[in-house]
Amino acid sequence: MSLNQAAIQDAILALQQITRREDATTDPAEIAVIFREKHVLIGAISSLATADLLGAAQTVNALIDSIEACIAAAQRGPFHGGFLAGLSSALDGLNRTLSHMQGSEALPRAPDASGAALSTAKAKAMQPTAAPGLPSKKTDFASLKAEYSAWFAICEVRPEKKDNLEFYMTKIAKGRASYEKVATATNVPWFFIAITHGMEGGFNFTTHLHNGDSLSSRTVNVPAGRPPFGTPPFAWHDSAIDAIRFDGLHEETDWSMPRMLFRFEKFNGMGYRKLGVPTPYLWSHSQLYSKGKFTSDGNFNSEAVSKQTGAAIQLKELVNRGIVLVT
Amino acid sequence: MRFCFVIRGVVLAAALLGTGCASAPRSELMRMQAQMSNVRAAADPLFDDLALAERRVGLHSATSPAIAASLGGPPAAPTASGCVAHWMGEPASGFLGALCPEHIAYENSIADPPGTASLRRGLAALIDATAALLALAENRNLAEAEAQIQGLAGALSGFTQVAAAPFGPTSGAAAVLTLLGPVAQQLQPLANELVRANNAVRVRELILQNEDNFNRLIVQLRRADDAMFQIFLSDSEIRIALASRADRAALRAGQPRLINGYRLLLSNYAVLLERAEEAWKAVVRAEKEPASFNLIATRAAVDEARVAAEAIRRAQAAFRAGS
Repeated sequence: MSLNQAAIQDAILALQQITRREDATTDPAEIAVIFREKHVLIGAISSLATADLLGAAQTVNALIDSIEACIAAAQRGPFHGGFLAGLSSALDGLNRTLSHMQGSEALPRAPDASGAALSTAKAKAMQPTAAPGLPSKKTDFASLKAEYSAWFAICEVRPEKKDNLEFYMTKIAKGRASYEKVATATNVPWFFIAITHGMEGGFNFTTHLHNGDSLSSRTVNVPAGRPPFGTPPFAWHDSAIDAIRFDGLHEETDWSMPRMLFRFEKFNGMGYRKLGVPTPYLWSHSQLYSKGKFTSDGNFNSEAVSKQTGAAIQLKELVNRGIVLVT
Repeated sequence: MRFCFVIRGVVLAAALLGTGCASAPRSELMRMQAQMSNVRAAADPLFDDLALAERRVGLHSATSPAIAASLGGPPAAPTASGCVAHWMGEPASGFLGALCPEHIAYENSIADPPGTASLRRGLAALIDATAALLALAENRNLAEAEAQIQGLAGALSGFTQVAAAPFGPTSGAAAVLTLLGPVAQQLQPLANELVRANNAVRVRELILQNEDNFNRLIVQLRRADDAMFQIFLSDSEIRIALASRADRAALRAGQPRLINGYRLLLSNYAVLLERAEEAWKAVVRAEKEPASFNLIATRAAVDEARVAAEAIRRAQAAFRAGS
């Protein structure tokens, strides 16, 4: 079953629930909310398949908001037990599907020791004209610091990708309380945790940040047996704190913008630099990246295009909106 | 070199084999045509219903977000062309304030909505290509085959319009249906060649050249099965959700029969496409390995197709009669 089909089925279940609730409730305020959100749900069901996977993810996100609005409206009145349980079930399903949609577009690792470099001419031909030249082939932070600053200063989201960026901003804002809890315990900026969570885990709060295994038990895949403390099922933030400590990020002190971009890029792999291609992990959906990405088999495909919005573009938007300050 | 295969003393075999060693696999093509006729019999009424359901669902993808926005919900997103249509009037009795290019595919009363149009054209391409191959395999003159060839060419050119249309709310079908056009377009060289091919030898070559094209097109048509189901289901749910409280109970009560009826008809459609796929494989196999021709199996397959045709007729009659 495709992720879109899963989302449609959950949305239909939610629509059935709120239609039944509409029949049952006498609260005019709740009826008004249901009438409005019913149309949001119908619009989402109708258009789910018109978009690609991340477009569908945005639609699912709207569905989740709609269902939450119905739950909030119902909680004001009595006799809502079965209704809320049914809606919550649909909500859980949609959240799971949304995370899978987002996660399925996660960029595979860009191996540092990949195949032969592209010719300069070919690498240049792959770049949009707005790019300030090819990225450096060096991989140490000292050599790259100025490039990160320069590229960050000029990067802009492509107009046609603003909706995608909005999706990331919405998810980051929604999860902010959880990210801040982890940040307080680790001294890692909350927005760095948030962007990493989106890029690697599809903003899924039901899985370990370490590797995407279910929070219902300790991690099974590498790194296995995490967190070593506590009893499952784990709270997301408890597991995330362990993941950050496990990676040693809590000992880092330099959280300047260039250093964060370096950490993001290093996390995904420096393989794009050897090819002379800007990494989509940072620059996708901006004017600095047009195509080329490593695929899950570890090979570079010069025509493949990343569907995620790059980490640097997300960070820049958070800065532009005055949500965070970076140096 | 083609192995000469002769069944001596079997009159029926001689009739089926037609012009003998030099002929294209006429019997297998006849079987394929019989299967495709069944697919069409199953698909035509389904596609008619699908067009209505897709049109309604497509319209809701424009109207419902606009209504929600007019009631304080999230603003309706611009369409792919950047068009924004606001809701005018009362929620239950208003209209959209702009006719966006994307709406036309669902609001017109002349053409099928895009998903249905894509499926119809894909099926028509297969049926016409089969008929044209058979006409030429039987050494009928080109004029007789021309109608099928023109039909095939028309079906293929239609995909350009479908591809240009905004892809509709095909409920999980986008991936399947957007592949349908390019796959069907692979038959374009066949359409061109059929115009020139006027002998059975050339038809045999065309069969081998188009083995994968036919296979892939059949597979894509079959994979659209669940996508069609999702359209029917979404349409039904939306109609219930938007009905008045007084009408809702009756609609809900009738929904299981309606949805289960579509499940049955769509399942029939899928099974018939599987049989068409088998029939095409038999055409190719007969071409590659002439000695594999099996008169009894071919006759049995044609008989099976006749039985299936009757079963389709009964299933559709039962569905329409509400039993």
